Amino acid sequence: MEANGAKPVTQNGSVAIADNPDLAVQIRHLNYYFGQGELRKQALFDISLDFPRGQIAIITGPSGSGKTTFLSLIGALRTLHEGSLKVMGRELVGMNNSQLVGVRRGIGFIFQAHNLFESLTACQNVEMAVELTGSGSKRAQAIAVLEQLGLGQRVDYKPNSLSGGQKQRVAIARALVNQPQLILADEPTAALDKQSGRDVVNLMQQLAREQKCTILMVTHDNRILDVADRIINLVDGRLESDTSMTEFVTTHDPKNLDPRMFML
Amino acid sequence: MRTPLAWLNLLHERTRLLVAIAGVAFAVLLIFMNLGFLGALSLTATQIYDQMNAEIFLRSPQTLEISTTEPFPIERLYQVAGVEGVDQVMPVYVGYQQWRNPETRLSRAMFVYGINPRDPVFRLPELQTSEAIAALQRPNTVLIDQLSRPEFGPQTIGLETESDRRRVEIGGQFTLGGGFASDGTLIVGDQNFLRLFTPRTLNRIDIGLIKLQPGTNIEAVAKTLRGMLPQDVEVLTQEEIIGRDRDFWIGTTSTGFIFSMGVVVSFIVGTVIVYQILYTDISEHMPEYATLKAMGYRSRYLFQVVLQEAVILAVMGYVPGLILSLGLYELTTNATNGGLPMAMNLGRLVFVLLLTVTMCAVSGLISVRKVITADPAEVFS
Amino acid sequence: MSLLKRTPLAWLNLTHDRRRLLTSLGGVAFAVLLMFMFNGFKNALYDSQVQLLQLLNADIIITNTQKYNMFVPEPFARRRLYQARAFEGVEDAYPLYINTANWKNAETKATRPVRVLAFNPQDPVLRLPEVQTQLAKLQAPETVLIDLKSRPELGPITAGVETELGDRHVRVVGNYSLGTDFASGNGNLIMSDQNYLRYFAQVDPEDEERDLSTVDVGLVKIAENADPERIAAILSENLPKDVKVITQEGFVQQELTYWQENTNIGFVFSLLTTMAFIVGIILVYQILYTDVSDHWAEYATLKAMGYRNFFLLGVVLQEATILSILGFIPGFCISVLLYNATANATGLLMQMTTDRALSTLVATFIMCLISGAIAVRKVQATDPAEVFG
Ligand SMILES: Nc1ncnc2c1ncn2[C@@H]1O[C@H](COP(=O)(O)OP(=O)(O)OP(=O)(O)O)[C@@H](O)[C@H]1O
Ligand SMILES: [Mg+2]
Repeated sequence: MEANGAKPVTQNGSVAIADNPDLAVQIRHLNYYFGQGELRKQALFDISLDFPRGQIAIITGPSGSGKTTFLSLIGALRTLHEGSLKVMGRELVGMNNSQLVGVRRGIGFIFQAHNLFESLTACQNVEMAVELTGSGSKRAQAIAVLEQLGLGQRVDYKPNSLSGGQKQRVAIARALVNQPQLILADEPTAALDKQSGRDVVNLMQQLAREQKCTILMVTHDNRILDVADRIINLVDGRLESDTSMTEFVTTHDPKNLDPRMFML
Repeated sequence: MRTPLAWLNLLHERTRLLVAIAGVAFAVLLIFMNLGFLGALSLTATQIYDQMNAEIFLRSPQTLEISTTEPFPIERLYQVAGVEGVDQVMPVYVGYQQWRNPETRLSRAMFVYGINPRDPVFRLPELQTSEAIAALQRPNTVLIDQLSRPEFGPQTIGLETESDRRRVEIGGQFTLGGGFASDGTLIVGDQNFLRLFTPRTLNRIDIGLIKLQPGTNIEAVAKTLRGMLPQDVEVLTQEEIIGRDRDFWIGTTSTGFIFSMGVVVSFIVGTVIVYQILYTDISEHMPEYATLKAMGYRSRYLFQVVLQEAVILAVMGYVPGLILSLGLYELTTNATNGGLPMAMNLGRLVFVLLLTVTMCAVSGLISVRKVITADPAEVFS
Repeated sequence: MSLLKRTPLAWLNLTHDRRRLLTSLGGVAFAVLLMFMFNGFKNALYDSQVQLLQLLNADIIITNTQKYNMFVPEPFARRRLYQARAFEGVEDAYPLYINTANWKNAETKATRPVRVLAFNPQDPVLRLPEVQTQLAKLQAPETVLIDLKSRPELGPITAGVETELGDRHVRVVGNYSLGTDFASGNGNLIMSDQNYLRYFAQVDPEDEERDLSTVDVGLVKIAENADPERIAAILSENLPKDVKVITQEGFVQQELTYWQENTNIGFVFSLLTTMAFIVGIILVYQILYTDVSDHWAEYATLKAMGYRNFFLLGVVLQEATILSILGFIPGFCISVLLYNATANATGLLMQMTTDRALSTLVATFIMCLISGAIAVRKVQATDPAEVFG
């Protein structure tokens, strides 16, 4: 089944859409395929979605449903050929690799694995991001973000001497330090214990509010759904449901998902 | 059957395995080349004796090798002639002459063998023909080696030129090769030798060749001769005389040292390469190894896995290394126009294989320490 | 943003794991050592052929036209030297006599041929201070100076040793240090021209008799600021064609060329050096490749963050450069030690010159760059989309 009715697709596969400056991400009739020829396999089917600025959206769905693929497309990590995908007003469909790199610089990424350089200190890892766009004192900026994330005492530690939660917070600091307008997080709490996971999500929420940025987060972790403004459910590469937080709670089994539970 | 963990670990990272094999192969190649060069040099230095038609050689104890001979009395050779088992004795005279290239008029040192024209001193069939024998008997006539360097000039039969300012004519050709001592070789009859090398006499000879009757025990005859002849001559079997000359050349030119050093350093480099591969492999699989330990595998098992990896690497690197070496041997022989006759032999094949396995095993043993000390608790980090 | 202010990622990645760094540097150092060894052997074999020629205290050398290398025993008439002296710009011309004689080992009584260098002790023939200061001792009959670097087969050779040279009594009165070459495999003796007459004027009938009227090598000194090339040309033009006149440099070069063209030394050691170079490439590639694959996720993350391939290429090439320089230093030091050990063990003339060290450094650098360029393909191929999930 499809969430939106089919819309006319132009010859070259891209769809023209009007700019809306209030939208961080605009998606129309997005299809995505892996592989070529015989092995070609469609991973995403005709997705159309809008994400307003400042919104926190959580993407859920069973394993293999295309969540990661979806995030990687918005993150300008793959070249696109069909439909339309605008990030911060820039059309990604048809962009070449080098143009995509430019788009990425305005996005903060957080992965399940922290992917920190073992050889660099927490601060240096964050500085690697500052250096991309950098202006002003990179160390001061890095320390400021790390302090916000409660790592003020750990700036010169190497990842080896940090706990799992601390490492993930360094990774978040790295994603946030350039004050991106869009943050993409793929299961950021999966490797963390309950408390660390909670802390990390709260921090993200707080920073999003302060810096007015949009957050798209993939998670299986029901305990953190409460931070979301909106919950999107993908099944087999198709948009299954797109609900606001309150709607989501009422349509799902209240025994499992008591909104008060999220307030822990 | 047990899971072939060593094999699977190695095979898992294709690129790294290929690089590792290339590394071992090149270490093997370097070792083969060093040994090959050494072998080729010894062969060049001594292959003349394979062409000489004798089982036992007489020469002065002061002689170091074929080109720096000290003459000794021909009577020694006559003394030998009557000994049981001796078929024929043949005197050989040697010396250097300045051979003038008739085209450039530049002279160059030619190594000259003087022989009795009727003696079958060399095993070369072209010297046994009646024309060759007749040429050797003609006054002022020489036979020239076709493998003499081009700087000596044309080798046309009938050509006249000067040797030490005496007029000589080329009466024939043969194919011998000069070795270390000479760039060009002549063979002349003993009467011509006398003329070219005045004031030498035929009573003092440089090398005495002793040809034995077929089936004679060479060692036994050599022993008899040693007991019988005075101290002014040395009795050497073919093997012994080759050994002497070889040791002399390898010693004075330091080639023995040089190429042994080459083998040692190549061995160390190979060890470093394999060590790096194994060490990286182990560091990467540390959590897995620690898990195996936690599951109850003993260190001995992990030890075996690493050693197996080492031996697999050794064999997989040896084969391409050997093939490359054979190619380069061929190439070297051609590139040097036979100046360096590189030939593979079974002993070297086995020796290098053992060396390669040792090389890999040594690296395995150094890198395995990391696994042995693997802390099963590390699984949790 | 200037490069210097950047986080030195290449450096930090390399130095992070100390043990791996040490192994890597060990690898590069050994590749450097291999190149130094093979090159060193080649140079030693060539250098030792001309070390004596380089020490000849002359601007121009006169030899027999036939003498195309030091092996050739053709002398020329001493008259030619007197004739040469008459030319303008020629300050002096003096003879060096060279011959071979059997030296008897004082202990084992075994003989070995040695090369005898003879000259008038008044003439400054050799640029060897050790020899210059001992020339007075050579005035006594049957005395020689002998090279300490002669082969051990010569037996005891310290001053005071008495033995036989060409069946005639001889006394060692001093030593100096020179080394052997292919033409004098066992060693060099120095004696006065008067003693030379004693040993070579009346030899047995089979050997060629020599006196002072024929010379092996003529040494010509020219006026302070005269041009050796020009004077050599004039002498060559005007002296009879039985002698060849060349500058000392040309003489050295002629000898070198002979050995280069007539032996496979160059071929053998160039081949081995090339192979050492390839082994080095493999070694460094392996190091860089491992680094890249270990940090694959991090590099991919950098790409996701917006770093371009160019940046990552820079990181890998920097690592290559650092490795080449850091690995060169220990490689160089071990090579110097090994050169000394080899020189002591074999008497080979192992010389580490600035030129040779620099060219090996350049080779090391290129070796690391090639490996870096191959390894970098792996970084470029990393797909940032794959870090997700
Ligand atoms: N690089 C790829 N090449 C081919 N197919 C791929 C590739 N990556 C993902 N897929 C396929 O695309 C589909 C969607 O994968 P995706 O990784 O987006 O799932 P997901 O929703 O993130 O799952 P999970 O919750 O397990 O992480 C899956 O069927 C997967 O097999
Ligand atoms: Mg996923």
